[in-house]
Amino acid sequence: MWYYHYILKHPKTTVAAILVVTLFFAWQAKDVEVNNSLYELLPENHPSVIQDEEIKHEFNSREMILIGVINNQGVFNSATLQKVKDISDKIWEVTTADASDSSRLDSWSSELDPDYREKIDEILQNGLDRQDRGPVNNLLIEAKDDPSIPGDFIGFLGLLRLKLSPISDVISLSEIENITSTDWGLDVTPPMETVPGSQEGINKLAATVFANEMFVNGIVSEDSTGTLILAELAFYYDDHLDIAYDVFEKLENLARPFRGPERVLLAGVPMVNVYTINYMSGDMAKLTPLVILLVMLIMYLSFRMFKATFIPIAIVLLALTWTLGVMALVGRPITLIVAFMPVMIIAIGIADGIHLITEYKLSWNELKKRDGAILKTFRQLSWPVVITSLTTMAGFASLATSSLRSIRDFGIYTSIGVFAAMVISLTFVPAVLRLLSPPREVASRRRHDHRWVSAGLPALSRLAVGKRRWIYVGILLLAAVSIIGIAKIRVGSTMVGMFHEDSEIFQASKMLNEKFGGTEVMNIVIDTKQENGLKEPTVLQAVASLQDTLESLPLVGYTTSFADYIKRTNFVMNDNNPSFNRIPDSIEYMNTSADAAQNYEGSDITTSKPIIGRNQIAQYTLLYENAGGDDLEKLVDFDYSKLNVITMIRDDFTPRIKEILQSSQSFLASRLAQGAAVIYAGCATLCVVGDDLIIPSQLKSLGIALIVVLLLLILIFRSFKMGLIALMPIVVTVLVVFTIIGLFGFYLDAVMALIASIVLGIGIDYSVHFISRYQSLRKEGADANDAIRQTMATSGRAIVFNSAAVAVGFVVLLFSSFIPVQNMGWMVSANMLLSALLTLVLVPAVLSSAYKLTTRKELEQ
Amino acid sequence: MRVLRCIPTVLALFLLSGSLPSQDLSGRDIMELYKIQDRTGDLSADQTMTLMNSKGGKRTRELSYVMKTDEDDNRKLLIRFLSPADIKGTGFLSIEYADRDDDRWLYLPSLRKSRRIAGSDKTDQFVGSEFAYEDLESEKLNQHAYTLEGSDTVNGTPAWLITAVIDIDGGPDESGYSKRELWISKDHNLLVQAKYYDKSGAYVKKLQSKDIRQVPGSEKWRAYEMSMEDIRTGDKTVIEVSEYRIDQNIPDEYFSERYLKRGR
Repeated sequence: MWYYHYILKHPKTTVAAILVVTLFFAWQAKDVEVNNSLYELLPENHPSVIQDEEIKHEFNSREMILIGVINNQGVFNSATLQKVKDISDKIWEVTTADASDSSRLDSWSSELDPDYREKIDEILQNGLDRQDRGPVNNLLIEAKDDPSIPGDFIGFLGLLRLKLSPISDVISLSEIENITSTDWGLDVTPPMETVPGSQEGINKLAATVFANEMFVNGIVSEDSTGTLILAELAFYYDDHLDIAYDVFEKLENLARPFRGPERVLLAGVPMVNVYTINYMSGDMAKLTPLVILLVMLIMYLSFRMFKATFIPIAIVLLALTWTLGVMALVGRPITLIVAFMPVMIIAIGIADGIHLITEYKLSWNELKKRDGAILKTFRQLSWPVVITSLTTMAGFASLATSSLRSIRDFGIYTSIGVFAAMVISLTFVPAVLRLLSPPREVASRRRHDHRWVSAGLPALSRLAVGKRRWIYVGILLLAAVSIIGIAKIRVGSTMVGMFHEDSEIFQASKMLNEKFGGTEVMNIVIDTKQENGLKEPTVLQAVASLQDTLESLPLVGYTTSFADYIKRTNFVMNDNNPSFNRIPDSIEYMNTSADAAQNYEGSDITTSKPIIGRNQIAQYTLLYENAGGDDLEKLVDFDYSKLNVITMIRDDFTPRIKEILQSSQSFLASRLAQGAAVIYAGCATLCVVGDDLIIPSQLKSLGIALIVVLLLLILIFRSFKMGLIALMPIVVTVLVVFTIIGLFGFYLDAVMALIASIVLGIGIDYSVHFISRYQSLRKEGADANDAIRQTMATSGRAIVFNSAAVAVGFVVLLFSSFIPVQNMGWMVSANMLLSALLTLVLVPAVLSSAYKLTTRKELEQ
Repeated sequence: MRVLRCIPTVLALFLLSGSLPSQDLSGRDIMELYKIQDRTGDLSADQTMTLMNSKGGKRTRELSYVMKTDEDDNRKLLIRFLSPADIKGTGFLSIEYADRDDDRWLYLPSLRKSRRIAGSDKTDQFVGSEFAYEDLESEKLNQHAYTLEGSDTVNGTPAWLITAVIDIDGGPDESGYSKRELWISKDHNLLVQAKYYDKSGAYVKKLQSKDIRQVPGSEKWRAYEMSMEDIRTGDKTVIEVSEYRIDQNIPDEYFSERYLKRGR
């Protein structure tokens, strides 16, 4: 108690100290990053993630933004084509450098040698613009070689260079490489370098485009009502999120004036992430105040006192700031899963405040002395606050064992939040209560409020004790149903499907998936493990038929690989003869007119000169490289041992992606030579990886949570039996959670997987409160039924209000922009109430049964 | 004719260069001296071309290189791959014109067919190397403005540093470069190093010439090793020459599609 005496002696110092700590964390928190890319979910060291990273670098595959230009009247008209050309040209000009970069560069200039200063001044003349990317690049190269230049400046210049030219490639009708053969010769140029001026020219362009099967579904839709422009980032999206974000904004602005009658739609995985971040920020800005308001309202209704509502709110806001500060210090971003942690911390942290204020008012009424009332309050409640915080923390911290990073983050940071709320409750609250004037005399009125609660609870306890057989039967039935429900649980997740159907990104993704090959990318990398292994015709033939197999699946809209380029070159080199639109055979016999004549005279076809397919492929490759083609760096590695089949998929729902993955696996298992390896990479593959981790992670963290919480309960109650009883309501609630997921046909995803742990972490408090009160009443000499009745009247009441506050807090999630978050909102709300109800029904029933058993045993003895 | 007109100046410069201090030479003057060293009627070389990427990958090709310059300083070039086996015999012919796009043909021995290929883009990479077509062309003194920046040393060799920018009246600028920095050695007037800047002004490539020797049986000096490095990617192409043959009176017919198709 010396501790509370100290606080009461120095309330101002305590408050000031807490505020300083809060300011420190708030200062940190401003740097928290928001990102929801898949890489933030998956474990960094998962083999698939490591492979994906290697493949990304090996094939220079950076994120692409898909810009669809849709015209229902057809895109082959001069106005639409001009827009395609203009957008393509303008994308190259995108830069994201701004005035803050100029002033940073300027401030560096004063710290550097005159030589650098002069160059910086030259760059800054006329402000920073795209023209400066060359000079900035050169300055960077110079600075890198100069040991006297600080690393920070080099880092800044590197970023500035990216900002000045953040787009590394544009693919569109006016940019894509088209290998063609004409009477004149061979050519590798874009089909539309300039927009044709005449109808004839436009018709010819359409014919050219549709004559190259690599374009159909790739950059033009089959019905010619859409054409695609792809913009490739010059960097890996996750490395420079802020620049990427600016690029997307610029692209969105760039597209706007070109709309009408054409639709210009932006989609693709990075865009989905941008929208996710936008909506997340919107959600946080909208839901956090809303939950605060609602919770304040609930408290006002229960306390009828403004001051009483202010203290619990202060607790949760401070705790939230601390948590965000810790996140920023650790350097972890806010992901979708972490984004509703504020709601969580508010909903949970509020409980401590409610209990403290209730107790303080009671003590004040009793003692009429401020310091005495404060001391009495904390003497009574310190221990319950600590233990409920610990059990809740254990529930959430068990998520730290999950292999999915954002689930882990969510668990860790929520338990940090709960811990912060506990610390603040036990330091800040007594100090503030000491500083504030004592409560007015309103408490006496309280008993007349909420009559239904006061009347309902005794009835409930009579029911629980009297009809406990029925309760057990009900629980058993529930368990039976839950077996069916749990058996029906399916794992699956989607990114685009999280948004409402009328949202911009859902619509854009849907449209582009309908018109083109798909917005999701799967990379199927085939490694022959041999230098030049790809030049073997059998390998490329297998790849070509893999692509045919994949494209026969309804959700695979487009595939491209090195095999397509060889097919195309073979076709073009053989004078556009359709029978050569294929991979060369291992050995072929020449059938050109000159040789045919020779063969005619020379009788035997085998005397004609054989063509070695391998050589032919090698020579086609050289031809393609020599003609200025540089698409291959995304499709083959440097020594032609690995190739990348880029597979576009029209849906990002993981069970469907898994089917595609499996059909590729079973095809390649039979067709691939021994020793060759296949690696699956790309966003689509990683989504599936996440799915496979969900169930084991979920089981592991729930199992650990139950064990840890049980141990804590046994310690707290110093009784194994009480520990088990306390765990019962929450075990049943968790079963119900999974039953709902299974029976309602929800897919278990990273968000759904959290519900059980949230329910466990919060709900366990109810039985802790109930059983502690029951135990202390029994110790004071009450018999079981009396103790139950009294516990119902005191703790039961608190449990009702507490669960109502939490449920209302989570109901706010119904206003989220994300469908899974909405589902989670009502599921947690409903199950919080259920868990409270079970605590008030099941626990008394079991307690009285247990009492009966022990008394019977005693009688028998 | 242009060349003939230059001769008196060049001769005068040549005579004076021994006695005049170098700072009195202009950039253009030095480039004239370079041209004298560089210019041959024809030149053939046996080369090993090694393509290297920054990740340690390596691809080696052997090729024979035959080049002839006409009196207007336009080049004809025939390249034949000798190895690796799968591209042996593949040939490439390029004919440069003063007033129109170059003609380029490619011969694929597997098909026994030659194809003309579009050659408007001088900035294209030559057979997938870091050398662009324009890097292989002869230096067009009349299409550039040269500025002498001063003296420098490259690998211990004293050199003049000259910047070259395109300077053509009205004509199309087909170069991929905004500027080149050329290091011309003072001893043999050879290009020993060059830095290339793209249209945005960014430094993108670096050429280094090493192992400079006099070609046996000729008064010309040549680099027997040249490397071109892409500054951004770190990719590099090294050409090593085992033998140069100069002014062998190679006939013009050698640079024809018919000859290309002979495949040897």
